[in-house]
Amino acid sequence: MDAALPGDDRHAFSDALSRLAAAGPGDDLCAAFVGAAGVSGAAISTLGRPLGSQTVCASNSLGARIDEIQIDLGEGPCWEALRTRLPVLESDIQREGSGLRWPGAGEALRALDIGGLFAFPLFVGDLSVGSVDLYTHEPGSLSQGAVEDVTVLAAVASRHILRRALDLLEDTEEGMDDGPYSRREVHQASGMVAAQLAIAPDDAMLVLRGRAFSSGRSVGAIAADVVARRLTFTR
Amino acid sequence: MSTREDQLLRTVATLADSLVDDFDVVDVLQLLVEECATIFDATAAGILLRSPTGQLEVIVSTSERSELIGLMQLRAGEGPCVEAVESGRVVSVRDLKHVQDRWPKFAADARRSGFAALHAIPMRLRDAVIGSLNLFRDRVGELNGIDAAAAKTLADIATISILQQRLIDESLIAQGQLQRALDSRVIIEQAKGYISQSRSLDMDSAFQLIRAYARTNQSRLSEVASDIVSGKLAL
Repeated sequence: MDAALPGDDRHAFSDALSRLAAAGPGDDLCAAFVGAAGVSGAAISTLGRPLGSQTVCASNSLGARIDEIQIDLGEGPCWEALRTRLPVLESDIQREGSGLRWPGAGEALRALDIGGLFAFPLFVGDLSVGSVDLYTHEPGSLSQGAVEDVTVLAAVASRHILRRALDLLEDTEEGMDDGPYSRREVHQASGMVAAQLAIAPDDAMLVLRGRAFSSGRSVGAIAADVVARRLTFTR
Repeated sequence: MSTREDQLLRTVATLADSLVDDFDVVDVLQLLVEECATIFDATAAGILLRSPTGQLEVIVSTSERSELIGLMQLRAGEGPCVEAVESGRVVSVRDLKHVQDRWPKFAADARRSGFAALHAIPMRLRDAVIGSLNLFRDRVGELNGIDAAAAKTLADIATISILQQRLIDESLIAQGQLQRALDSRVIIEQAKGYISQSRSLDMDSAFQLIRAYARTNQSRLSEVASDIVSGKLAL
């Protein structure tokens, strides 16, 4: 049974908009979405080209895990939302038949303690940025008003993230930053496996993802093992 | 909810829509001042904006009268609208008859304009003050607190819109440039991993080796990294 969530609070929306507007480069963007939509948690990630797939912020570890699963598997509601430029709204992820368009991610997401999952695309014109994923503990739907509000907030967040990415372009002769959700180690591991197997790094990434999937672990965990030399791939 | 609140929310929604779609800055600002004159206890409204080259100009106004007063302040170089931009703070003049001491050059022009009071709100985003939203009134007195706060919210949204639109317009956001810069960060991490594996080094030492090679050969780090992972270059 779907229950409308408290997403119609105008003060919450106004407050969220102001918070996003005032956010500095290192500030958390997720709290504004949680407040405005009245959900249990949120995560924001850049996805695909040009910004690369990496989580930017998460309001809690469950939110972070929701995005990590989809980044690892390369499928899921956040990817669909970005591709279609439309929100993907699942009021009950546990329901039989939900998530048929992304079977691998669907299964992994169902194993989490979440009910509703709502993915909104982040983009600026033609430029894809990523997505913001909102989840609720219990099943429920977002009201039309909440969907509109989050869409506006997402547009602001998109520009903020893009601006931040541009600001970081000052010196391109550096590697990646090492934030809490950095995929830096994953790329380093791809390089190591590329050398181990004499293949291209993109193919090495597939090897890592395959191992992650078959062992039921995250790509980040596999990468950590590779970099620590606990795990080596041989031909 | 009162009709006035409805109007305010509609204006917020329309302004917010401009964040989602491509829009013309001047069109949106014209809409904003017209809505301000309708919704708030104001007779007229005008916006002073700094052009990308740094000059202040009256970009839109609801009437010739408010246009003139803005212009006059620019010519005089002093006055509430200008001060709001320069100080980044709200300048509220409850009675324009009593500004002789504060802004002597502006005082006579203010009297001739026929306006009785003026509320100037800086348009700012953190440290960037890009202009001011100015509400002109026919009666003496301060703008009430609720209207002042709501007008500030509209000013904030308009500020974000303008700044982000300028950001998009700048060719800095050429997608290709962004793509290349971000790709090179990934490739540098991959190359670190590759060298770490092939030369049995830790990541930092691997990076130093790559960087030293780039310097010695006066090549870009990202190009050296790319050659390493493609197998073209063996260090």
